[in-house]
Amino acid sequence: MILSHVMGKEHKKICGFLLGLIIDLLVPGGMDSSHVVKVVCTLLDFLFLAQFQSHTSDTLSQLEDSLVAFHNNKAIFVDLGIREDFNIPKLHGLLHYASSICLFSTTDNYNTKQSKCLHINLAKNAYCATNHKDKYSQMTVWLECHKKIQQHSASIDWRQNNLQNIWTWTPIGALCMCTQSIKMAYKPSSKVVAFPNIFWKYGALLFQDRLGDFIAAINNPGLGMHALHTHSANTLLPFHTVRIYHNIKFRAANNAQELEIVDAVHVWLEQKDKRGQIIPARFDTVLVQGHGEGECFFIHTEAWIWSNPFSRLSGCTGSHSV
Amino acid sequence: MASGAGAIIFAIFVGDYPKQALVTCTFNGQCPKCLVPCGQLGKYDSFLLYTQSSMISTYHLADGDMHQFHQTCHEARVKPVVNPFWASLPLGDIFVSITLDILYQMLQGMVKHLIQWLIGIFGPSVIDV
Repeated sequence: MILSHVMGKEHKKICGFLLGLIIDLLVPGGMDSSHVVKVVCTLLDFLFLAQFQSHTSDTLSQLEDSLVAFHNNKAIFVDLGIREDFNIPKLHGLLHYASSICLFSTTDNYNTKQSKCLHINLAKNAYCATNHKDKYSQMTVWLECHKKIQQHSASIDWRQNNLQNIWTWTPIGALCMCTQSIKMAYKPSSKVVAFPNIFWKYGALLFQDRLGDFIAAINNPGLGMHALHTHSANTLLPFHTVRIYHNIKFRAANNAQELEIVDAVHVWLEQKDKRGQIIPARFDTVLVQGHGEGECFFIHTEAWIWSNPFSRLSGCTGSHSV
Repeated sequence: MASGAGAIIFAIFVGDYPKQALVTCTFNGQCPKCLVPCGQLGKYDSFLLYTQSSMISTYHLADGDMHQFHQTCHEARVKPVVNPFWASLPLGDIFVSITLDILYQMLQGMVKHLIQWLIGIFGPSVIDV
């Protein structure tokens, strides 16, 4: 390969293995090549540091250090008779690198590579495609065709990728909601809470009435609201304490078909932690949809209370029909 | 070039070395940013920088005696150009806006030199590119 025809891309590759090539070579005349290796190393350091896509004060000082090291060691080329001086404008240009990076940011922002590529794509290639007569109009037509072909191939790629993606889509958002399940603690947060405490502490004012309604509805399914209230008034609750659970967790299957917790409802009274600091009371607001059409309850500042003999959610007092 | 509110401000010039020398009106073989003497291009040192304001005052001499103008340009080591395009651009400094060029300065510049030096030392058969 003739060196003058080597492109920037190939020079970049050469930089990658140049050091490995010379590292164990002997300088003719039996001299140690460590000096040469050092100079090459400093210049390559400078080259790679200069191409960083982000810089800190440290990398900039490293850049400057490697340039100083190169200048300190460059005399080896004169000693070996390769060069008589270093009057190369490009070598002098390296002095302005650090200040230029400070002023205008990293070097990839003002590389001539981009404009060079444009020149090759838009001018050189277009000119080669003409018959060199009346070239300007031929070049414009060629560029127009070329652009259309590019757009069309991009569109084909996009469509093909899209077709593949249709089969790999997974439902997200609301579609997952139906697969949610409730997870409760094995043991209740409070084992024994009397009805008056539910009334005064948890603020569930109509708890006993709603519990009566619930039991009446279980025993007499299909009853109307009015008849249900009559039944519930006659229902005797054979207990006066209930278990209370302070959390409900909602689980849903994730992509790997494993259940994970997606939401939680928290209810607790004001309490103190281990260091004696007060944790304020918390009552989450929950919107519950009933079985009937349009039946929806908006429950707030209530405790989720599970009645003692039934292991089912019995309801909360003071609920408002929405 | 960066566009502000209706105004265009000349910020950086991206180009290879011949174009840099052309727009800064400096001579080929000279640094387009600083007044480094020709024999000291290989030295690690800091040199006096060109400044646009002093150059513009030099170029204003073109309105007067031509001989005097050429003489001053020669002393300032710039080409005698009548009214360079950047003289009227606001908020810019052509000498500061000249940027370095990784492709031609490093990859096809110093690396190319380095490879040639190494070929000179070790012989073309060893450094077989």
